[in-house]
Amino acid sequence: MFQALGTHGPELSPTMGLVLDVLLLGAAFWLLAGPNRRSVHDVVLMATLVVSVSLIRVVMQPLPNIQPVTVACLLVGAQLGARRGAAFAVMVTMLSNFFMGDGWWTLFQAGGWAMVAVLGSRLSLVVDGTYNATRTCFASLGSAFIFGFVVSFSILDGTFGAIDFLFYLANGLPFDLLHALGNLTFAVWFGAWFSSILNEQASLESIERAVVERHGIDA
Amino acid sequence: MRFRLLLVGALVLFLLPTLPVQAESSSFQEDFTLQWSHDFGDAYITTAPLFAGERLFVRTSASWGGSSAPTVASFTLEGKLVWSESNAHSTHHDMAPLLHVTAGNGSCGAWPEMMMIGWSDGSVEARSPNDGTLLWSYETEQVTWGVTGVMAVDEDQIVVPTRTGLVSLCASDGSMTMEATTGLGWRNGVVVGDEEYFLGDESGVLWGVSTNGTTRSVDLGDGKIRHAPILTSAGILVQLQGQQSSTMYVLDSANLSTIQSLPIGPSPGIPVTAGAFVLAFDSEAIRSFSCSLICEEVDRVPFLSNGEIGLVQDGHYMLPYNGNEQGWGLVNITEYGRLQVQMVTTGADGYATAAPGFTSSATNGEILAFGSDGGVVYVHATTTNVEEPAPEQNIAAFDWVAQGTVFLLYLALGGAGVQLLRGNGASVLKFLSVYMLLIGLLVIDQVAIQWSQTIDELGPQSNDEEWDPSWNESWRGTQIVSITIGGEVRAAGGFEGYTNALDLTLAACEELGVEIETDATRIGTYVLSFDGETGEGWEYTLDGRLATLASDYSTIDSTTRVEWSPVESR
Repeated sequence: MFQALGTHGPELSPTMGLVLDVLLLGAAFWLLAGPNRRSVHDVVLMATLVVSVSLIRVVMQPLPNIQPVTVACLLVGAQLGARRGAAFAVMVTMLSNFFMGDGWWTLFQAGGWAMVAVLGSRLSLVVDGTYNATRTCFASLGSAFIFGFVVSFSILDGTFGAIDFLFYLANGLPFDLLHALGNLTFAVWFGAWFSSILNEQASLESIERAVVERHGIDA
Repeated sequence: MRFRLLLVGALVLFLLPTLPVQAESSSFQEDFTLQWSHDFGDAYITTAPLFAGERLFVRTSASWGGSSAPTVASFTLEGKLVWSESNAHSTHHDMAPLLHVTAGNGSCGAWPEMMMIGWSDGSVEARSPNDGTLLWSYETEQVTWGVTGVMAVDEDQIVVPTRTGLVSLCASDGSMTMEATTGLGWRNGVVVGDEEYFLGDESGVLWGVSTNGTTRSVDLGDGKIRHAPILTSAGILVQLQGQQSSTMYVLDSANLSTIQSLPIGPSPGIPVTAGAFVLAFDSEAIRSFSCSLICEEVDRVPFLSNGEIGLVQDGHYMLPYNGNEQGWGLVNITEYGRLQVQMVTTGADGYATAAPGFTSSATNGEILAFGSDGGVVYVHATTTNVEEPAPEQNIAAFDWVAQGTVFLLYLALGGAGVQLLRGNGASVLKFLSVYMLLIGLLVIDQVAIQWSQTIDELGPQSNDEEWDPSWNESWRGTQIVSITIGGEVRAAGGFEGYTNALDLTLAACEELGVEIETDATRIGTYVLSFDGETGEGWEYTLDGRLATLASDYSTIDSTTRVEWSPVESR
């Protein structure tokens, strides 16, 4: 399964790589699947978001740890809900890593950004359609460190002790700070605009919730 | 709208003059051919030949046994001797660098273009570069020898380090305007500071001499100061040459107190300022130092040289190699202070102390002159003339990334300022975030390196005392390198004095006959392959602990074990 152990964790055999891709893609579909029928608009919007954010990530690859995906995940999570935010995170990771290099770390990047999306859905960054810029700025700063922490687990391959791992985390702090600074910049410049794009369609989950609540009252 | 466009245009034009022109580096043997040489007979050439105008000036000495009288000679660039002056009274150690002084005038009068010559009998001569005519001379005290260090120009004064101190001579007529006594000096070059001159002596004392002749000094201990001190923003940099090793001192110019002392190798040569760095060299290595707030060694390459180093083509430096493998080191110092050294042969190979002379012009191309200890000057030139850069070449050399970043920094900071005045807090944050992000991107490499070094120092030291029984017992207590190539472990040990993992690895590869391929990046030098084996990449451990830095940034101690293995074998 694992061919070797490398600096980013185990090097994957082709079979294991395929299994991992299927796993991630399956997770994305599972997250997107639901009892409600999605409109064409929803599907196109999600596809466009995934492709464009992936493209931006690939283009910005030369800049060390500048990750536009993090803020995008945060806001998609906030506007479209945790499930679709996490699915968005998985698909962007897979698509962009197809160009930037796929491997064991894809799993942890997808997990890290999915966690950020879930966080975005829970932090009330958008309340009643109103975008909270201050809260988004703080969330974008914090999410850089959360993502960095989750992704760092990809280094664990059995040869690393707890102390070694802590020092590995500490070594990455300057890059986490740069990530946070990049997130803040994206949030203050594009946060409101990006949020407004997503806000044009009400969150399906919020509609579902509203319907359920109304029925509850009727009952 | 038009006004804004004009403003942007003006800002772009304002940035244009800062464009850097970087020449392509090329190998010496491919570009230069020997044009002519001149044999001065039984003499030495111990200071750099000097190009001035369309002439080459060479001085010889008879140090350590030469029989020919020390001479200063002037040649055309084609090798025709124009004039030559010998000094029958010389005590043979004539190694004070020649000093070319352009015509000028000052409070003590006007002077023509001059070639200043300091002799070992203590005389100081101002001669016409054209025909060698003596314009004026001044006698300083001779104690076995006289003037041996580099002189300096301070406005209308020629400042001369003598055997017993320092004199200041009016450039127009050689009249003495200041004299100060210091300890006995040898190659005791002088440097001109803001309010005083600095020079060292053979007793390890650094002297500060004000323009009115009053002195102050500091005793740095046992050793000799044999170069002109270097003034850096970190302080006055002085090498104290000891018996077995030497020390580089950084002194506070205000009170001459020691700010820092850094160990260097034995028999150091004359250090020079190389852009933002200082290049120093000795019997162990060439070292680059960064001296901004403090001086710190940036890089080191094993080398053996003890005389002068000179600026040559493409912004490189050149110095003679005084080891068994004879030749010259061609040194490239990168913008981050890393050193790349290439060995070349010139004909003037062998033990030497004189740096090469260098000139470049559109008509004559690039010319290099090498003086040998055999008393022969070899003049090499490029086969094709250097063309004046066309305007479009300048545009091609424009560093868009650097200038664009600076421009964006201006815009971001300016934008933040304007928004602050308007009282728009959200917009201030917008512009400041861009500014901070750009700054972050500019400094991240160095910050990450420094941070990792700090973390490594704080980290738990490995207690892995595993000793490979195949290693030689005599390696205990020394630096050891092992490399696993194709499953076979090859090791070398017994090394001492290396301060980073890469230098140690390079030395081990040389001993083991292993070919190493590296790649220099902004965050350090990475090993690509050993003996052509790339694998999935190479990683190394220091005393059993996986390293987190590029090997040239990993500091090691006197007993470090560096173990290289391909990542797939971990």
